[in-house]
Amino acid sequence: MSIEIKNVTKTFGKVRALEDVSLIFESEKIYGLLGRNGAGKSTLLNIISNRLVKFDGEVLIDGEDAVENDKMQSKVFLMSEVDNYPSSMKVKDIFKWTKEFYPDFDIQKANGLAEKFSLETKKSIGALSTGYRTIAKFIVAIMSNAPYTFLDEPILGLDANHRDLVYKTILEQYGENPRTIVISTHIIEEVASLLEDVVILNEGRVIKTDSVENLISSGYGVSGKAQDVDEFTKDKNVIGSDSVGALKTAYVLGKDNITSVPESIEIIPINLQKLFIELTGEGK
Amino acid sequence: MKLKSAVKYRFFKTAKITGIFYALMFELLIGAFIIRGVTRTNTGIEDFFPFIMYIFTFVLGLNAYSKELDMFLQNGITRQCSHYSFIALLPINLVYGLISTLTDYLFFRVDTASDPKTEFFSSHCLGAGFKMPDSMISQIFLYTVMVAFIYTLSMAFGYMIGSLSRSMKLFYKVLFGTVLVAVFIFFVTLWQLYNPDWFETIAIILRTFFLGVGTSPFGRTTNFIIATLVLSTVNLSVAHLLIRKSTIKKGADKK
Repeated sequence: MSIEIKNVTKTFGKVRALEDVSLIFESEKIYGLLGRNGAGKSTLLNIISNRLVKFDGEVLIDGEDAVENDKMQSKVFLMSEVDNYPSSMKVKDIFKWTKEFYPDFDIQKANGLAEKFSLETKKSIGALSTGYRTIAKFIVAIMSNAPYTFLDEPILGLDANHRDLVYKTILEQYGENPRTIVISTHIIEEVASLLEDVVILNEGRVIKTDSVENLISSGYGVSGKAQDVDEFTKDKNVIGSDSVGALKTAYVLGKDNITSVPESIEIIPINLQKLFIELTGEGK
Repeated sequence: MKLKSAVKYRFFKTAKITGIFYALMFELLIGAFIIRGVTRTNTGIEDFFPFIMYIFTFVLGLNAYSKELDMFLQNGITRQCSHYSFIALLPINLVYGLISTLTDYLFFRVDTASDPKTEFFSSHCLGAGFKMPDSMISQIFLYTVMVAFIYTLSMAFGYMIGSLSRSMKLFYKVLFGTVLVAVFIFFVTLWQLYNPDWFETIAIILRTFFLGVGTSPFGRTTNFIIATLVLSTVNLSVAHLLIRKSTIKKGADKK
């Protein structure tokens, strides 16, 4: 049980949004779909959820073609950045109709969650602020209980408290009803602890797909005086660096067998956000 | 297929809009009825009412394409399912036809020679030689059925225009609209100035297409139903071809 994306290419006019993308979203895992602006994340999600149908390649959901397939699309729910509900539709009506289209949608829990977020369900979605609109769409998505739930920017416009509640809710719901959840976001640092696997897109191509654990352990940082750091890393695969005055931190990719470290430098773990920045920087 | 859910959604939305529309319309008609009762002259709404219904059903069809498609795609409904759910909605026009007939009998029976039904059956609507059926029941039946199919055609046409509008970029929409208006003005001007013979020929061709050549009211009605169904099918087919590749309207090209 998985979603397979096979050699998907999508072009908008002269712009190639996705190029020969192949990957698998396995069942019951939390993925991060990361990429810079314009990397192709939303395009990929729109293709999987049948919102874009003209593309090259294949998308299979549990072995069946996803395009214009009611049965397979009923297993997918995409919370997207754009608002596809009529702006005059009240939040409680959105819950009601989602229940109609997704029978596993839990209206009771959705209302409970709306209360936790202080979301007024009698308001129309068009009348809500950006943050509350995101909250409304997030609640609908997470309570849809769709086997493949995609969250495109689920924390857009949210304050720190609400963001924390979103992360807790994702983990709670995943614990109660394990399924595939794919989170596409720019706020990598906050979301990293939720993720099991990560897919990194850059300029329409998949540049990395691995578990968070493997990715983080695939590299390390070397921090200290610039001269000492350069000397230590001269024969290593340095993917980027930060300098402040005479001090420097270099980011190295590779599981090197570090036996002796000069006292003047320090080996530090590399975090996911830093790795992402270095992998997708200009010219990469 | 989530067809049942899609049909339920469409009917719910349509019923809401219909309720608001008829509430407004009946307020207008009651006002006109009172005025006519007092003054014993027509208010003009009698002539206008059928056209209001044509416009209403056209707009229903227009909105049924674009606005509902986004909602359906958001909820995992395929384009095909969305299209079929619209087709399932079309029989509602029989209800509209019945309401139009009842409206005619309730509001236009007072001392008027130009109630919508009579106008409809008169020679300039249904052609010379059309014999109005004798029995009241037959008249009601024929009028209801014929206007219902006109509403169906109007709704299907609106749906097709909605599909064209969604698939066109703004520049082509403006161009298409401008050309349409220009062509309309051209022909109306030509008709007013010269009234060429071929205008009459076109009118005869259209009347023959819609009503056939016989004079039997039931024969003409059957022909009319077939003609409107054929045109409705053409409109729905065009819309179907366009919907197959339609994307979410907002943000679909957001990378």
